[in-house]
Amino acid sequence: MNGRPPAPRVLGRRVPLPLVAWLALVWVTLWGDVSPGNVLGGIAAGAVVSWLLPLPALDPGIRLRPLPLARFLLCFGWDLVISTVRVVFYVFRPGPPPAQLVRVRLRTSSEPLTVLIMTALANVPGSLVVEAYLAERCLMLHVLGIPGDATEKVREDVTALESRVVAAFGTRADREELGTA
Amino acid sequence: MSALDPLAGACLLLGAVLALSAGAGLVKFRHTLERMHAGTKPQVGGVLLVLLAMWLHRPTWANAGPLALVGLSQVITVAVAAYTMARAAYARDSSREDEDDGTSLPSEEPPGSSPES
Repeated sequence: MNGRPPAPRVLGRRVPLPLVAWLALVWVTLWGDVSPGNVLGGIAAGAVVSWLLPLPALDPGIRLRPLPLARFLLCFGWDLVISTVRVVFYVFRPGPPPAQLVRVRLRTSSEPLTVLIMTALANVPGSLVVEAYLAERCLMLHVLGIPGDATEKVREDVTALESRVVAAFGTRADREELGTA
Repeated sequence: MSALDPLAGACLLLGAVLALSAGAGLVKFRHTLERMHAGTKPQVGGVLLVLLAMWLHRPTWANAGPLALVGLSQVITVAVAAYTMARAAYARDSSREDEDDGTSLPSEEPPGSSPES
């Protein structure tokens, strides 16, 4: 499965199967009941929608791997708790909070993974992506709630996060790029 | 069933406290970028905790699905919104330490006399 996802032609239009599978999953989830009728209905609805509203069949560049994904989600949840506490502490403490801009260099060249990394960073309190330089593989972060010079700590954290994201979502080429294949 | 209800209550209260701290942060912080921290992050934590409380109140697979979808949508949309706002603020160089960047609370002055930002 390199390049394009499987997409058989139906009446002259390609129907990407992963998209149909995803739409069917959402359908069944919203009905809240895995019955044969629901699954068939979801597949039918997904197929009709993807046939009526065609999108270019692109490779999203993301592969899910269960164990690293679980590890990423656990670390992400823990991060969320810790940094929420930190930011709330500075909200209720008098005086201005410590804040600074940090420039971080990424090792991965994959755009989908960079987007995932930015999403993860944006949801962790205390870090905010203010600018992404994809050509130079750099992110500019605004960091709140780390007293003193946070540059080194932030860079370590982002590098660790990047490793976990690439392990959980990266293609083989992405993982080889980081030397963690 | 009812054994989980205290836990659900705790999650609800904690989520409400987080939402309150988000509001307090919006009032307290002085720059757009700092406000983005307060306005986006505790908000997500709060919503996720409230969703968790809803699930603990009725812990079935049928309820878990829609709640998980809501939580996932929150996480994705907050990231996009935060990045868009932060990028605009950063482009305007609003992280200056000394002055307000036009996002302060409205003062008691009559309209029209506000300083240019």
